[in-house]
Amino acid sequence: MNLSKLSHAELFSHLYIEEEVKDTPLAKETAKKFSKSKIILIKHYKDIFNRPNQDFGVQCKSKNLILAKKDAPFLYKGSFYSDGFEFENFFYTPLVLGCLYDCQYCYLSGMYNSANSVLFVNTQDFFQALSPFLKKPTLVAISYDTDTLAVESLASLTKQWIIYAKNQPNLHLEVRTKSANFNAIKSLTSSDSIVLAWTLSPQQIIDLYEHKTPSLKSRLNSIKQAIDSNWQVRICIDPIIYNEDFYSLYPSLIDEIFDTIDADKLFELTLGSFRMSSTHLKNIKKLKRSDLAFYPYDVNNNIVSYGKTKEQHILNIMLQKTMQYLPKSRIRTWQLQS
Amino acid sequence: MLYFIIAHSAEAQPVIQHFKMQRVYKFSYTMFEADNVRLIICNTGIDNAMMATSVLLAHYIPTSNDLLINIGICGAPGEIGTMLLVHKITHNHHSCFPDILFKHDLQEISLKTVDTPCVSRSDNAVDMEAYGIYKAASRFFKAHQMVFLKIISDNFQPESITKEATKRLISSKIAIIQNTINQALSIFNKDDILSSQEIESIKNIAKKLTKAQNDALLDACRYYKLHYKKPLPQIDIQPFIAKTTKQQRSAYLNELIQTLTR
Ligand code: SF4
Repeated sequence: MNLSKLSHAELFSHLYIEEEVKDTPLAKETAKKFSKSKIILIKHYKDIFNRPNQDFGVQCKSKNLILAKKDAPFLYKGSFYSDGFEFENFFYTPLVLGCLYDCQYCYLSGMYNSANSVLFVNTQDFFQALSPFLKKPTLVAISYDTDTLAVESLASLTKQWIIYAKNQPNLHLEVRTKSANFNAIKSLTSSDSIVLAWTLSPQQIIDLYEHKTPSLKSRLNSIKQAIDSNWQVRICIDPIIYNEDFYSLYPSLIDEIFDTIDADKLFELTLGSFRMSSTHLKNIKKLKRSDLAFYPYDVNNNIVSYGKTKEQHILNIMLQKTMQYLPKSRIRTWQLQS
Repeated sequence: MLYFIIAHSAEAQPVIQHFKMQRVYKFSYTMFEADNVRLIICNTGIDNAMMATSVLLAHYIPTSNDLLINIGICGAPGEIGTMLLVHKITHNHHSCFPDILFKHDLQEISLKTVDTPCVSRSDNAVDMEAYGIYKAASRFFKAHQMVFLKIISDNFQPESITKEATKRLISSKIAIIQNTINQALSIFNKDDILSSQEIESIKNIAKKLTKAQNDALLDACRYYKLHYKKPLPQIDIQPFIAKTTKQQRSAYLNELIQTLTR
C-alpha cells in the first residue's frame, strides 16, 4: 500500500494490541496515529493472526494491524526459493508478519491464514539473537516475508536496523521493497554492507497483480534518489510473470529502468522467473482471485515453475536485454543454467 | 442465506415480521423460514446457544455466501436503545473475534458472555449466548460471516426488561439491522470463478477424465476466465468421446489446456 498516499484513518479499521505491549511507546504512538481505529486488546497475536476461520481474500479488502511481542526464534535460515548471495550465514528476520501490499503471486497468501499484519515491537530482542552469529559475515534479509520499508512510517524498523548494522562489520543487510519510500531513510548515510533492493515489474503487471503497491515510475524515482545518495541498489525483476505480453512488456521495462537510472551506478540487477512451493500455490488457488494461481505450471520437487525450457528462455531473453546496459558480472540469474 | 440465532421470541418477533418468515417444524427448536432466511430461537444461556446453533448449521451446512446474525438485547453501560456491533466476545478467560471488515457507523464493543444474569455494573456489555453461538458457528462460518448485534436494554438491571419493551427496541432498529446485513454481505467474494452452467458443461467431460485431469481442466478454465475476463468458450465434448484410448484423451486434454492458457 502506498502509505504516503493514504491517510492513516483509511488504513486499519482495527488495531489489535497484545495486553503485554499496550504501554510500550510504539503501541501508544501507533494508537495515536490511528486514532479512528478501534483498539482491541488481545492476549497473544496468534489469537487473531492464526485463527483458523479467516478469509485471506476478504481480509485483503480491509487489512488490520496487530502489535505484539515476538518470542524466540528471531532468526530463520534463508529459504531455498531465494538467493542467499553466497553468504555462509543467511537469515531472515520476521520483524513484521504479513504485508500491507497485496501481490496476487505472493506466497504469503498461501502461507498465512490472515491478511493482517503483525508488527513486533521488541526490535532489541532481534539484535540480541543475531549477535552470536556476527563473528562471521552474515546476511540478514530484513524485509523477507513482508515489505518493511512500506511500514517505515509506523515503526522505523529499517532505520533501526541500518543504524545497528553500522556498528557490526560482519553484518550485511538486504532491504527488499516495492515501496517508493526512500525518503523515510534519506537522512541516513549509505553503507557498503547494506543493499537496498527494489522489486520492479512492468506497469501493466503492477496493475494486474501488485495491488496497492506504488507505480513503476514512483519506485524508479525512489531508486534514483537512493543511488544519488550513494546507496548500493539492487534491482530485482523477480518474479517475471510470463504471459502473451511478456515479449513487449519485460524488455521495455529494462529500457525504462535505464532511461531513469545510471547503469554505472547500479550495484546489480537480479532476474528470476515465477516459482513457488506447490503447497502455497494450492492454498492460493482456494482464494480464487488470480489467474496466476491457475496456470498449468510444471511441478518439480514440490516447486511450481514455468518449467525448465520456458524458464531458461525467459531468463535468457531478459539477460540478453539487460546486457545492453550492464556487464554480465552485475546481473544475477541464479535460476539460469550456464 | 441468512441464519439468525436469537435467544428469545420477543427479540425474534420483529425480525420474523420484517423478513415475513413462517414457522417451520423441523427440530425440537422454534424455527422460522422465508426465502433465503432461517431463524432459530436458542433460549437463554451459552450451552443452549451452542446446541441450537450446531443443530441448525449441521443440518443445513452453510456456504461461503451465507451470513450468521445474532441479535439480542444486552445489559451495558450507555444509553438504552443504542445498537452495538461486537468485535470481541469473552467467556471466562477465552475470547473470540468476529472480523468486522465492512464499513458501518455503529458503536463497536467487546462483549462478555456470562453464565448468570448480570446485576452488578460492568465496563463491558454482557449477554448470555454470543460466545456459545460463535464457538459453534465458527466450524461452519468464517470470522467475517458472523455478525453480533446487541441493543442496550438496561444498565445491569435485567429485572426491568419486559417482553414488550424488548420487541419495541428491536423493531426500532430493524432498518439499521437490514443495512448492517447488506454491508456485511457487500464485501463477500464470489463463490467460484466458473458459473454453475460452466461447471455443469465440464462435468460431462469429467466423466471421461481422471480426477487429476479434471482438476487440471477446471484450473485451465478458471485461468481463462480470470485472464481474458470473458465467458468460457464452448468446450466440445465430442473429441473426448471419439478418442477411445487414454493416451488419445490425454493428448487432446493437454491441447485444450494449452489453448485455454495460451
Ligand atoms: S510486496 Fe512482497 S511480501 Fe508484500 S505482498 Fe508483495 S510479494 Fe508479498
